[in-house]
Amino acid sequence: MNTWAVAKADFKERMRRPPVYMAMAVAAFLCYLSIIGQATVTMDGCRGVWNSAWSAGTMAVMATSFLTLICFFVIRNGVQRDEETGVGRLLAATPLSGFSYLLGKCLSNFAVLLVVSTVFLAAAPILQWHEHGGFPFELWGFVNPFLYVTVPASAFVASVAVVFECHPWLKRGLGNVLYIVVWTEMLRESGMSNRGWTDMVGFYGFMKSTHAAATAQGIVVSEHSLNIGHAEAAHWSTFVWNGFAFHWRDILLRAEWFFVAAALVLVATYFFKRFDPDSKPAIQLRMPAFLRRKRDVIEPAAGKWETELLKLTTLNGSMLRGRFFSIVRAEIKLLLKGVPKFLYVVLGIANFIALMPAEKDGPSGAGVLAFLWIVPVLVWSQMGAREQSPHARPLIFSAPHSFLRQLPAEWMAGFLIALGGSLGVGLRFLAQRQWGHLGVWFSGAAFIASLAIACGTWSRSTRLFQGLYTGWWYLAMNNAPNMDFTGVTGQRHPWGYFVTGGILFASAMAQRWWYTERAAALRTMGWFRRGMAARKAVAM
Amino acid sequence: MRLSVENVSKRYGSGVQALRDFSLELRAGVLGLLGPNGAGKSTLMSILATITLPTSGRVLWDDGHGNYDIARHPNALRNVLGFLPQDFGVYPNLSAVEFLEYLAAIKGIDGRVAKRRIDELLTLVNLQTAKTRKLGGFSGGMRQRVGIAQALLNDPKLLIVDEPTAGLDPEERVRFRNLLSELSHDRIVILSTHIVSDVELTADRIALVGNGKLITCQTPDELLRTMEGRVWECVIPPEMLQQFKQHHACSGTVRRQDGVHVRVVSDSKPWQNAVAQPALLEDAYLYWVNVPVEVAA
Repeated sequence: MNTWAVAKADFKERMRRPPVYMAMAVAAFLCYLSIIGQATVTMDGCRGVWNSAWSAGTMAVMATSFLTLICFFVIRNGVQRDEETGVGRLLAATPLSGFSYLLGKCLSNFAVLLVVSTVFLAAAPILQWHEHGGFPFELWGFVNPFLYVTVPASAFVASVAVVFECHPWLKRGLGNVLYIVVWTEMLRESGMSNRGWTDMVGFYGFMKSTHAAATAQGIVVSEHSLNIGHAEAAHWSTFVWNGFAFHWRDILLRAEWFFVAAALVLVATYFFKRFDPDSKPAIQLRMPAFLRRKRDVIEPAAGKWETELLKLTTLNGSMLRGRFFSIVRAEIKLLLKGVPKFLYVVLGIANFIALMPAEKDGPSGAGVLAFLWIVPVLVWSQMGAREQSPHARPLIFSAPHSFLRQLPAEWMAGFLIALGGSLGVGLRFLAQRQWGHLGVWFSGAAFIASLAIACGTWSRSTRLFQGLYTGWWYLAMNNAPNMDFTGVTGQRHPWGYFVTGGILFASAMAQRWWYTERAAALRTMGWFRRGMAARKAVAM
Repeated sequence: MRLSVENVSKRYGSGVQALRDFSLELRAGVLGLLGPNGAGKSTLMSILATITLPTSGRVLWDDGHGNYDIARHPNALRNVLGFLPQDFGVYPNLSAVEFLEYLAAIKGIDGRVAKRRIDELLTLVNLQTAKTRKLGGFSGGMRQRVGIAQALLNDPKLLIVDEPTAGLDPEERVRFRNLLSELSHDRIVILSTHIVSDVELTADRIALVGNGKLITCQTPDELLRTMEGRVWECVIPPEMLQQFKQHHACSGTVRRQDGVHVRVVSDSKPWQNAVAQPALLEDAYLYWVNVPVEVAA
């Protein structure tokens, strides 16, 4: 009863918020790409014929990739929202148990994922119709792959989101970064291993089933060949796949993820502290004494108010002018506030290594740079988002010309942190007169700061940058074309990244300008419209 | 029905010592909690609402059937608890009815009973006409009334309200004060506020809190009696005001043609033309929170 109430209210609340609709819009775009053949599922130059099962299988695999990655970030804020809005304090004072509450949140997460997956389900018949395979529409054929692949994976991800929200470390930005690693491992395990019981996202089962169908029809396919995305071939070998057979073993293997999900909710209960403002992590690691902060007993502030206005300094005109580098210094302080000391130690060691004389088998400057530019991801992720929190927004945005004073200074702070945090590498490039690498160093730093500020400004959250940047960095490390902004893979695109950075920064400025100076923006637009009208009138 | 707070101390992980050796016993009626910002009132209420645990000491809830330590048996209290925190939030995309139905289910209230009770409570807090509107569009006062309604959902035996009249207009404040008075005859109500008049008009007893300690707990009449001969009004030259304020606790100053009229809380006559005045609760508050705690005890 309680669990159902939590799930119902949370689901209603989420379904009335924009992120779910944005996720559904992106899902619809992916479906469109799939229908026009730009994103599809293939195996070693062969694919299934366009019957209902294969169309839905294609969509189910795409849906699962999307739901387990992007939608994880959409759903992982149920508990956090209760904490931020204060609803959590109301709930904490009721007899509702932690497990019931978290199970409710997990069910709500699951329901949201299912709702988003319906976009893919609805697209499956369109895909089949578009491909003109001549096969009849079969309801079970459409539902079958979703039941096997998407539904259990959604249940699993729904519970992982709950764990990530309750664990004291994972609920912070670190969790967003770590999830990318978890997701990559999940896909690797499902795609590369031969174990059905570790097949979290269902890809192994899909490959096994389709491989069996292809082999039975005389088509030789590698057992681990699943390509999701754009694929071209001069000639496709096709086979008929009618969906999953759902033998009792298959049912058990997929039902396993519902039990794992329930177990994960139980684990989350252990970390969940019922919105206690003085909660401590369930597992505490002791820091070395020299890294520990001193915590004295703090007495509550007391004292009388000074009421003599004459004691205040009178402001003159010069003090009202903004000073760019003072704001940059303040922004750097704000961004670095709360960064654990051990991170400085890590960065210091890496910079020291970069300054060492280059050895044949030693780390390259670009290699150290790649490492140095993933460590501070949580610092950059605050850019553009911090000042948009509900408590800070009225204070920052009510200041005159805040978008001209604050946003460029914040960008400069992020840029300087990127350069300063990798100064050792920069000096190494300079000493070795590697001008090309030096260009990559500058353009990379500018790109990071611009991407961070654009993500934060547009999404008003730290998560978009954390997810996008970590994914970008991961692709760069894997030598994806044009993605390497560090130069570690030998790719160098300094001008491309300068231009991209410039566009991103301009978009952030435009957003902030519209948000804070809407009146001026509307005036400019009105002026532009009037100008156009006048020009038309003259032309006539 | 009794709530006993026994030697409760609370030190937060950040090092802030919010409560120290706090003891108090409550029975049916309204207890007003008064104290300056940072005195420990909200911490005390969080502990009583079972949201956070004391560092030492215990809180006992006696419901007539058993005496429970609420740290060990929180649900014994939660089943009969109504709590309105100072900074509470709502789901902005739910309507008032949906939000209250949700909380009623969480509190374990049967669906049909909950519907009836929600309807009655929405009438009580004057939100019938806005009950299907999204909470995100509610004003601060309307949101506060939703908070009051949710605190009363389960017909609580212990009602804890932190700054309940913040954001309410004067008429709503009067309604709420009357409501608290009506509720208090068979339940314990703990009311924390900075508005001294709210406490004065509703509380049976007033607990003054300062620096995490209980300074005193008395009825309003007893508190006022302690102030007899300690409240003065005098007229002083404007140039003397600053110096005068440094030596005396002033509860009011008004500039007039003959000088500055100052209301002073003082054990002795503060100025040659000072005249004794009948005490107000504000004077008592000012007097007690500025007295060293050891003396007050």
